Amino acid sequence: MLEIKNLSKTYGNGVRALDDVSLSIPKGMYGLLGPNGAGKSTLMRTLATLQAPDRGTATFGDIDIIRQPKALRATLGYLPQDFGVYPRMSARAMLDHLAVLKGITSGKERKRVVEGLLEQTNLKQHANKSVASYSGGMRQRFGIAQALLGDPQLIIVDEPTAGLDPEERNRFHNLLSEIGENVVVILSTHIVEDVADLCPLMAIMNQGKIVSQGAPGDLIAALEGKVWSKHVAKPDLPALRARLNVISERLVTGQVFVRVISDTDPGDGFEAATPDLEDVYFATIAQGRQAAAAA
Amino acid sequence: MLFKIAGFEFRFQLFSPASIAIFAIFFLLTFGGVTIDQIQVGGGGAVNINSPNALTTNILIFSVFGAIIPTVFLSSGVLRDFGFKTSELFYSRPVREFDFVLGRFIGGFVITAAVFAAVPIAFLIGSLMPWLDPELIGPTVLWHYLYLFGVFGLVNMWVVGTILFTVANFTRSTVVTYAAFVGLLVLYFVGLGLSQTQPELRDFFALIDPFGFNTFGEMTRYWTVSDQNARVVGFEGVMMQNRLMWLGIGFVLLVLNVLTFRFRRGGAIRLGKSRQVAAGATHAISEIDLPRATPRLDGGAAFQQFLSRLDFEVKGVVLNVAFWILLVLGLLNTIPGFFLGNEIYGTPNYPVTRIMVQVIEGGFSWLPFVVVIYYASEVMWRERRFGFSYIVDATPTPSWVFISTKFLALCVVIASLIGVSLIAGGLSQLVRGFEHIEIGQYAIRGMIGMIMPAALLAALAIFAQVLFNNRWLGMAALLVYQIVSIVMANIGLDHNLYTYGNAPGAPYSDMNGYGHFLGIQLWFYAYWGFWALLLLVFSYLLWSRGSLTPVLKRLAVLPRGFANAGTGLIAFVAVAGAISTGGWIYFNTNTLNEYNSSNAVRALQAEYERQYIHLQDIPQPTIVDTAYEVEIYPAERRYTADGHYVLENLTDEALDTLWISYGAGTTIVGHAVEGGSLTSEDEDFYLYQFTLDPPMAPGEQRDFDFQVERANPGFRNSGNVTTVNYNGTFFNNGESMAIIGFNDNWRLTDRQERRREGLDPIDRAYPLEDESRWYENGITNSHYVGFRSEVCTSSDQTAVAPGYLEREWSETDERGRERNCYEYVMDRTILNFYSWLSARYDVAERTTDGVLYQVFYHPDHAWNVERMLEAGEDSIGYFSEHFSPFQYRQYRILEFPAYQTFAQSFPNTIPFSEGIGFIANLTDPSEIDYVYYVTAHEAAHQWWAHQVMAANVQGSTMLIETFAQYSALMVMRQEYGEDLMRRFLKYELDTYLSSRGSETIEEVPLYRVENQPYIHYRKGAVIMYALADYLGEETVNRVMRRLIEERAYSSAPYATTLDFLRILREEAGPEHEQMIHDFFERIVLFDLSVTSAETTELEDGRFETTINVEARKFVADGEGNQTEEDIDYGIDIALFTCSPDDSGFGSDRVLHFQRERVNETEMTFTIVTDEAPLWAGIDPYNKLIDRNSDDNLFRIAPGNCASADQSETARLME
Repeated sequence: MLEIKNLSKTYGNGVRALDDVSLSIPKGMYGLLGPNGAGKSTLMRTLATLQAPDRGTATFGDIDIIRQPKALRATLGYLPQDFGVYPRMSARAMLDHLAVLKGITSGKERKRVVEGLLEQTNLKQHANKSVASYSGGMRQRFGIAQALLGDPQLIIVDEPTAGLDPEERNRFHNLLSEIGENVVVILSTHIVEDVADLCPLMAIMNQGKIVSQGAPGDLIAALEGKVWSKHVAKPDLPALRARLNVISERLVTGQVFVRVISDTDPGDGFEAATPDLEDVYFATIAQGRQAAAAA
Repeated sequence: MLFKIAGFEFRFQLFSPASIAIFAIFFLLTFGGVTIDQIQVGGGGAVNINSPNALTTNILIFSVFGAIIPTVFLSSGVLRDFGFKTSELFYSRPVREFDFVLGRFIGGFVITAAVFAAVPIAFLIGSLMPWLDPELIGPTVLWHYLYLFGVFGLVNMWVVGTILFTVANFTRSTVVTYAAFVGLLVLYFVGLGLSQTQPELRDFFALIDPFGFNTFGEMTRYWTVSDQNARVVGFEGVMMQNRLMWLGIGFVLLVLNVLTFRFRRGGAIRLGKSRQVAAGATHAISEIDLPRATPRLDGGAAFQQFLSRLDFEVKGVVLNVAFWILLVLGLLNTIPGFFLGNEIYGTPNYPVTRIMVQVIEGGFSWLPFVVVIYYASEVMWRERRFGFSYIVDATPTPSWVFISTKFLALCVVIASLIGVSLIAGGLSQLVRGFEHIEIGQYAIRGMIGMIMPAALLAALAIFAQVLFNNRWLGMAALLVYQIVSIVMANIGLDHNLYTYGNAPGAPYSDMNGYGHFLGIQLWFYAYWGFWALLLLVFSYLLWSRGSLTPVLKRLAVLPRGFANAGTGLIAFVAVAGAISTGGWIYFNTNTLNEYNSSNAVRALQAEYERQYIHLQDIPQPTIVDTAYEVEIYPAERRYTADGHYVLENLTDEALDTLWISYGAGTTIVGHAVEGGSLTSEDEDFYLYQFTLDPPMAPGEQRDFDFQVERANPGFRNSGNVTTVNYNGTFFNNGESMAIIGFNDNWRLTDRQERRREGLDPIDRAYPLEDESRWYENGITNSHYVGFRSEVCTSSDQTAVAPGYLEREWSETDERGRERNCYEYVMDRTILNFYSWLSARYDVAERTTDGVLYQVFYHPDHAWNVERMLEAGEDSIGYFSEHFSPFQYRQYRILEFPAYQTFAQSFPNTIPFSEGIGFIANLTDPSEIDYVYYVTAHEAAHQWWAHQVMAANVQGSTMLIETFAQYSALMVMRQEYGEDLMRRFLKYELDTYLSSRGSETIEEVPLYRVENQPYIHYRKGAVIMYALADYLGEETVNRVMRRLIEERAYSSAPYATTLDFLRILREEAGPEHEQMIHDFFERIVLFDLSVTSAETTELEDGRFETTINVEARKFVADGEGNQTEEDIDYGIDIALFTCSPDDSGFGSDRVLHFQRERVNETEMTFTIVTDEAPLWAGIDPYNKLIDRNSDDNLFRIAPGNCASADQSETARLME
């Protein structure tokens, strides 16, 4: 459905935000995972017609995103990473205004859509309150409501759950997964569980490159039997790092719980661990770090 | 810690783009002002380019505009953390609040001072530039720079800085801080305007002026040129009080900030934002049933998006406190003017709509510029500022919707701002009881004259914001554009076709309505409107939708934008429209008319002089008789004239050449001289040479005939005010009628301009003793001539020329138009200077003592017509009785449009501007009746000019203007009484003294005046009034009578001031020799003051007052250097029960009034009166030229006159 080929973008300050990115994204939820600064938002903005790449193409169905931005916008729902709101403007009025901008011109239809979305995002009872007064979760739900205006076929949500409490995040996930049944939803995030919970397909991005992609299960399966874990004392850590491919270190009650990747049992008290998506993520990122260090 | 923070602040700001940009702007502005002659500030005339006066003026002016500097650097110290959202970071640090706020202030203030130092530094460097005229460069005194930078620059930065720092600290809002900055400036300009209309409050304004403008003005009010070149304002008196007071106020504010600053306040003042809606009972979404709706992307949708977006943008600006503050400021800026600002010389006008609109135009001369720049950045950056831009940018709404609605929102702001003031203008008319409100005029002049140019600017401002992708750069770009266009205009690049948004001025006149001006303006605005449309198209194509993109990348894809049919079509329409309207304008300004920049005109004038100056004094025949047939076509703004002159050779040699000149722009249809033929012509300079064959013998007369036309085809780039108008034509014979010989009007007279053109300076007048010039007329190169004129005009108008109406008829011209025709004939010879007028007039008239008094006036302006008739009768009556019989049988006043504001006396015919008397409201008897005064002055010219003409030497304008002033003062005194003359005289005195500093060459004694208005009108009035007071009115009138007897209609020789002084000395006697010498032959100034006075009650119930006075006399040279001399004068010593300044003052308030001999510097007078005096005075009526006329009165005891209304001194008309 969404075909991205060789997208590259270098900023004026020399940062390579996109480095020959190619992806093929079918209908359904697609997770884009990566650390901060990996280029996810640049990619999202490029797909949302808000930024032109230096090179490469992106097509959505028949629409050339770079050359026909207006056509794409007609079928696009976009929730940017961080958005503010106008003071003194109610959610209802704001949605109504955005509905016009999306091209829903019939007043009756617009009312139906706006009210429906307010209902679906559970904002109805606060619809006349200023969006500026909303809590973080409500604001994100407002964000998704506006992204859903006008029946979009491509929905791009950039870091939607950052700063949400677990309950709100849960709610948000439910909402997204329901939507993701018939359209393309790209979920960009640096939170592994978001992808693990929701996305049948995913890609990991680091330093402007797609470093890994596939179904989360396949990616996890590839690590089967290669993840080992152990509690170590803090002073031992440097030596361990030098010897093994440490992908995560977590401080737990004074001791450090480390996970390493190793094709064979590293011994030394390490126990085999069941790999999860986080391991996939950390292992991929760690590879990138090593590659960068080697270069 | 404190200094760490200050140091951080300083370094943080020092290399910021803002500080570099602002430093550069102020540096360039000042540097340009110093080094480009055309835009000098504070210098000019004989004042040095780098004089302390010019330096002070530069620092003052730039400190007012430089108020932006502390706004940026000081307020950002407390606002930045909110803008960058780093407040919590900073505020949670272990920094003491005291250190934080004071440190940031100190750092910010140091950077402010460093940036403002651009002004003195640029001034210093500029004054060293080699191309400056070395004659106008004085010595460089470094401590002047430091001192003036300190007392004006730094203190002003301190004042504004502390105020805005306080606003920023307490509101934590950038918008409110900038609104406060604009508000401060507006309030300041309102106050400045007020201070100029309320001279009695001058001291008060000097004390409170936060920028010290009035303080500086007051301290240097009477500084002469030499003072301005050498002195700086001392840190003393009101100057010291003012500066210390504002330093103190700033200090108090700073302390207040330091004491009240709390980190945790952090934005709490953002109204109504603190309350968050609780997450509440929101449940997980159980089931998704998304409402479906298919977007439309057609034109109809775009239109709806346009409407929705317009509503959104307009609400965005309107539902904002700043907008309403701005409207209030706009009203504050104009409403005082509706009630005070349209006074002329203290007397109000009727609030006709023309005047009200004029007030609004004045009030909004610069404010829309600021508003547009600010709001353009506001609307263009709003989505980004709120972090909402990605959401709207990702909608399928076309970009043109966003740009056009932002532009229209800007237009709404402008229209509201101006519209509110227009409505307030109409309401003010009602409040003032004036019901003739011309709503159409408000609407049209508001729309075309004010809203339109601001809207054009708005398009440019939006374009700049889009192009630079940075709101500060976008704002700075507009500022630079404004500066560049001022500089361009000053160096002669002044065509409106390339000065964005410019159109020629369109003055309004009640008589002539919009005249031909409205159409001209519309052409230019249509032209610029197409450009604005093109700019908006470019803005839309270059707009960074989504992420900001470097301008080069956006330019690279620009051509693709035009591929869109709609965009291409609009761009084509804009270009085609600009080309066609521009072409039409060019055809009018450069083909139908000649376009010369002001510099080119100057160069042409210089060229004329170089080529033809040798003709100036060659013997030529003289005009002795004239006859004209003039055809005025008001609807075509055109007249033709057939002239017939009789020339006579008054020289004693045969003349073989006749030189004829015409005014520039005349179409010469034909001309011929009897017994001569045209041998050469220079059409560039309108100069023609005829060879007389046979030569013209001495005493011989020949005819000269010419046919000319003054056509005003199309319109010009500037100078569209023409003498022929749809209603209200007024031209004189200098414009298009033949002139014998060299045309002196072409000569450059200004010394600087001459120097620039490489010409030697010329004297303003021939020396008084040059007897050869005594036989030359002071204003024309003929003597007295016969005059008759036929004049025809359109059938709805009346045409008038000097002379008596001999016949009046109607005729139909060759094109079938009805014409009204008149023939006017003079029954005696007159000066070769006369005018023709034509308009739709009403006439009021009466006959007294065989003289017909008439006023030809615009039917709506009947208010003061009776008063003019009375003033005419009183004046002609007085002058006939005391000077000589009136030489005519009629005295006519004719109204002409307010494009010019003067009255001018032609023989028995006085054109009088609608702007200076016809709409004066004289219903309050305590106001100055300047209509009466002007009428009397012009009537006096029937004697002084039309009976006694001055020779072409120094002092000529004393005989004409000073004597007309004297004559009018005598009539005024007869009408209003002696005690009320003081306010006239004090005004004249103050004007004289303060004008001395603007003298460009040299001040001369009155009897040698070289057409210097401040001497012949202002000083002349005071001197002549004192003369009449000291010698007696009858004695002075006897002198006048004898002068007329000797010199009336004399051309061999004409009168000189030497004749007058000779007769005066004979009549006055030797005891007045010193006074006559001081008054007329030297520049003498007095300094008279009552130093103390005390009253004690005597045993018999009477009161004894002891008055201590100080009296000094100075003689000044032409530069204003003074030398003290012993004084020995009779001077009035007086006691009053009320100050003569008070409007309740009258003769009944005078307890004692006695002229005493004052021959020592300090003297004491003891006076016994029946009643207790409250005021003592020396020369209390300001009869003598007193350097400081305010200390002549001394208040002995408190008390007041219990009078109702204030009235003020009035300036009287020429």
